[in-house]
Amino acid sequence: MKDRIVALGFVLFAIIFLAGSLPLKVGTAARPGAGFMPAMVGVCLLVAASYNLFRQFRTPVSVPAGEASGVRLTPWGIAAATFAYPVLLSHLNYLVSTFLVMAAMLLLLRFKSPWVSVLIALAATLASFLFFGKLLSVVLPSGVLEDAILAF
Amino acid sequence: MDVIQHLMFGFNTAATPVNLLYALAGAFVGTIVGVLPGIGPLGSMAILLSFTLNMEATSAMIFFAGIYYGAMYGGSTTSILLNIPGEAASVVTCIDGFKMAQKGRGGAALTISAVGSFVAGTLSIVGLMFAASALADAALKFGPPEFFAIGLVGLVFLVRLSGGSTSKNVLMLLLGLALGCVGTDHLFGTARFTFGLDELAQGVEFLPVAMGLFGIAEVMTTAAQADELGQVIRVKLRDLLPRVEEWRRSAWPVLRGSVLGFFIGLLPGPSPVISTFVSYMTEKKLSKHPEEFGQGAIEGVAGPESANNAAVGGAYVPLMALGVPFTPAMAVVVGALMLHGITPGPMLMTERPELFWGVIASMYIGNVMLLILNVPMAQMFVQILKIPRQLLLPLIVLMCLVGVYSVNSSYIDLYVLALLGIAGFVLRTLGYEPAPLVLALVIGPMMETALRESLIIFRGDVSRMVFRPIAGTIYLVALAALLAPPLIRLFRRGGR
Repeated sequence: MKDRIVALGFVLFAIIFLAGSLPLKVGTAARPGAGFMPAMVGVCLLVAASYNLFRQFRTPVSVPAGEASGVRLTPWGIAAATFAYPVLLSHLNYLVSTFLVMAAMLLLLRFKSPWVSVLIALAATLASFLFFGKLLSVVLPSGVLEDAILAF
Repeated sequence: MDVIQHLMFGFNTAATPVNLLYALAGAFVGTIVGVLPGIGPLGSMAILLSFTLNMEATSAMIFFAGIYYGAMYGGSTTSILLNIPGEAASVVTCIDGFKMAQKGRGGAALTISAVGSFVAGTLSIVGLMFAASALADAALKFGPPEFFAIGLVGLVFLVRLSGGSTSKNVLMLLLGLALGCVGTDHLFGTARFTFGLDELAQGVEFLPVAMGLFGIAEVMTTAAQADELGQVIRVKLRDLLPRVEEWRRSAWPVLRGSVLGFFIGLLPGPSPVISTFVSYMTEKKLSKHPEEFGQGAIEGVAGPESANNAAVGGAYVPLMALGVPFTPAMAVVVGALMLHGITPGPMLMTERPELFWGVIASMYIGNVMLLILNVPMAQMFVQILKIPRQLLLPLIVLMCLVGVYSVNSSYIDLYVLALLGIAGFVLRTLGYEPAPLVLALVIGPMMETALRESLIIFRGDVSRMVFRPIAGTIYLVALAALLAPPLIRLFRRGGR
């Protein structure tokens, strides 16, 4: 089933991409415009995606052994943490957002006790801040906490 | 003679304390990466890409070469002692390597594997040195039609050789080309698919795409797998010395693996992996004792382990000579060069000789370092597998997040990382290979420029673009290579 949904997603993407490339100036073979390559790729993508969709619908739906027992939450938790990071970073600056994301992942992966997870998250956050911010001079989103640590 | 002089110049660059340190660090990190299942050389190179920002371009390349070679060395250790391939190019080594370890010959298998890798690595660098400089000289005569031909043929081969479903590989390749179209058009300055975001004007950054597809997606895949570690077979120091018979039986497989690996490495796609399978089958066919294969034949370790190391040298040839990456790992190397404002290509050798020859010289040094690191310290590297995944995975994600942010201080890059990480995870579970996407993203813009320039030069006449001496030969050779295997099969069937 997942295969069919992804195949359908490819077709939709191809249609949107092709539609987006047409308003750009396609030009002619002698004078190709900015939309020439996107339009060419878009057409090929639509053909390939349609063929893939056709193939997926022709093969019978099979449920893999792992899929039948339900979706594993851990990888999706990691994905959620990765997605949440830029949102948190823009509002809470580096230390708090990194600590929250690290702690959430360690708790999700059940590393030792919750307290150990929190302590490791704290240590990793501080170490990464000093490594990137101080040693590699990367400009990280800073607030009062970060400034205080750097001043210290 | 020129080559020798240039190599000496390269050794002067590579032998500075800083570069020696980066070569050692790369070899060490690469070995660890090779030992750890799940995080392959590609993922680690993508993750460490942002770290190279503060390095000199030459040091960064030396560091990456060390990682790539180190991963090939390290992958064999867990294959032999644990029956777990550290990365895809070591899968074949499991077959006979682990059987040897069970029979108490694990030490000999480790030594033969390391020495074979060293010999093959060194021979392939000699090949790289001569082939790359000759090809770079020839490439100075290339125009846009030739570069388009190389890009197109490379992508076609990549689709055929990447494994899995061809139609899925084509889709991933086209997706990569589509992503490569995002950003300001090079010829007319028109904004394409930028949605009014300034951050997309320069195009979709390679770093978050590579880190997402190979870093975050690998972490998610590893998190979804069961955490089981088999019993490690212990090897004593005195067992590391192979018997005379084992040395004798390994000599030819090492040499054959070196040659095979180097030439397969020139092809687009996962060449180190393919080279191990080809080498294993060749050795089995040529062996006087084919029945021993699968039961602990030393040739089954010596050949493939030499081949995967030689393939690394081969993979560097098109990158160093033409600036065209044919493997995903080489695409990461191009990403690193671009981060330093260097466009790889035939001019690299003349414009940045210290980089070109420094990297080649550092490969010789790195191979010696890896030989010293790997044989006596194999048992220590295996202990790395005891680090709990629950601790390792969040740390890798953190490195990816901060690494991507540190390059452009861009939140968009972080969203791209997360999105491509999820996409990579889902697509991989359904059999879509991410490698064609990454390579198409890198090669796509170069191909677009070459295609449009060619069409403008020849006023839209495609035949004049194709029927040129060099471009035509490239298309012909590619066509012959693609059509030969099915035609040979057809003739054989007809002959029966």
